[in-house]
Amino acid sequence: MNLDVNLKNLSLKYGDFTALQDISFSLSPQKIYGLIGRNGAGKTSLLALLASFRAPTSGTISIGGEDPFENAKIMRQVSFAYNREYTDDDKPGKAYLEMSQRYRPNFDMDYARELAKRFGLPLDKRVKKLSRGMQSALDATLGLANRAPVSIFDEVYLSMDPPSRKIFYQEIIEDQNRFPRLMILSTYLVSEMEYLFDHVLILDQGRLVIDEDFETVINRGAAVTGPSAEVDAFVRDKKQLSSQQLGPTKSVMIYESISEAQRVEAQKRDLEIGPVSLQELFIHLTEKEDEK
Amino acid sequence: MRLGNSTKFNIAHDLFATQIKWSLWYIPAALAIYFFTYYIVAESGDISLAWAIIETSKLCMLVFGLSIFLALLPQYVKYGVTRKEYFVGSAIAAVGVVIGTVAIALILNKIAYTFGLSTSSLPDFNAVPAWILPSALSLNLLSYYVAGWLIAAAIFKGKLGFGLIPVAVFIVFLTALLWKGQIFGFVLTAPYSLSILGNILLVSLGLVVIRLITRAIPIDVK
Repeated sequence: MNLDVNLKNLSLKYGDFTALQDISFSLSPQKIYGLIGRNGAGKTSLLALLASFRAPTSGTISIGGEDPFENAKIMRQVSFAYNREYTDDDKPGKAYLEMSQRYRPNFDMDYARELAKRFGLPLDKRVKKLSRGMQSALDATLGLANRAPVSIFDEVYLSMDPPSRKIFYQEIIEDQNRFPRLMILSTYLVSEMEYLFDHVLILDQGRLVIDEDFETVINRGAAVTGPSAEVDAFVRDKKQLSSQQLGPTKSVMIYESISEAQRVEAQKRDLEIGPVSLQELFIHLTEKEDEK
Repeated sequence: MRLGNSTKFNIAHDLFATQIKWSLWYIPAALAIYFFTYYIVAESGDISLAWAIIETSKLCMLVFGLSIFLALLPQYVKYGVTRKEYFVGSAIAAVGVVIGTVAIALILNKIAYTFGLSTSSLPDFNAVPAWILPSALSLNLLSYYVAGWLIAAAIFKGKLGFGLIPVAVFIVFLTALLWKGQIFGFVLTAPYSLSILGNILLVSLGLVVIRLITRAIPIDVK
């Protein structure tokens, strides 16, 4: 089953606080989306809406052409993995796997056990007695083994140690090859995850600031370095994200496509055009005025 | 068990199994207290074992209704279950749990009575014919369960929901009035059929209110 996701003019308010404002985008099946944003940008609020944890204040969500909220057919096809609180829970990990098997139509118990083994996750131990990293591994295991057509992972990997995160990233790629589905990976650990993304969504203070495929985003970002006056002349009409001055040399980060003709012109001006990582773009695109 | 045709019945099965296990934990405790008082406290000779279990079960049902909703609704929504499916499954489980508890109480009472360890009387239900007794007791307990559920919904809803607590109290008091005939000086001499009908209406009212306020209730991401 392939499901697409469409949001139109979506807003969410908690009392007087606006968590999301006028968000519109479309997500296609079988792609991995990176949802990037700083703490408090609205990532979890947005994902909670997709998973029908709450209804939006205004605007519409459509998954597979239908409103997902209280829609039994759609809700069981949307899996939302996040770092759950297990402090009051006496159940062992295997009880969570059994619940998923009971209520998630595509859940693969063998795959879940295999993942638990890879993560070193003891399924017989009470979950509240596990370390935070192991609890995250359980959340990730459930999210992957649910094999839901819309699989959402909201920073489940943050508490994992680097080797476990590496296993998780490998499994994302391998399982996506075996069972392609729409995946959304929310994170601010951009540098170690960017290779997973087909498409990038950047949220900043409840607004969607970037919604483009990974290659386009990366190709738009560029660091222009050279003699100060030449750099200023070259970037004058372009969207500038940051600048650094070192003696007579200046480096300006821009976010705009550079045509072949412009590259030739840059060469003539003795300017160097270098790539910019998604991490750097994210930092500068979401930088507040007083942080610059 | 793999997902069957009906998620609602899977939920009902799971919630029934959980709560009947809880019942099986507290019933032995109620039995121990009953036998202790039966032999130690002289006046307790008129109290039946069934009455002791049913009376303590009222508080338990209130707690079941409260805790099942607070603890498990968010968990089920996380598994992709709708609030409506959870509501229906939960209501079926509640009916099963009260019937199960009443059945256990009556069977244990019968056994104890046979061995001379209990009287057969249920003070609040003296007027109720024996054939209708299980329904009367079950409905009585169901009122307490629904009251607990309402309080849980009120807690979930936050400050906007605290107006529901008087509705829960109203259901409990009116149920007591229907079956005891009097409470706080109010006297009601109702035929048992009217008591049953009144109790069904009270439970239905509670369920309608619960459904109305929980049909779009937000679930916290935690």
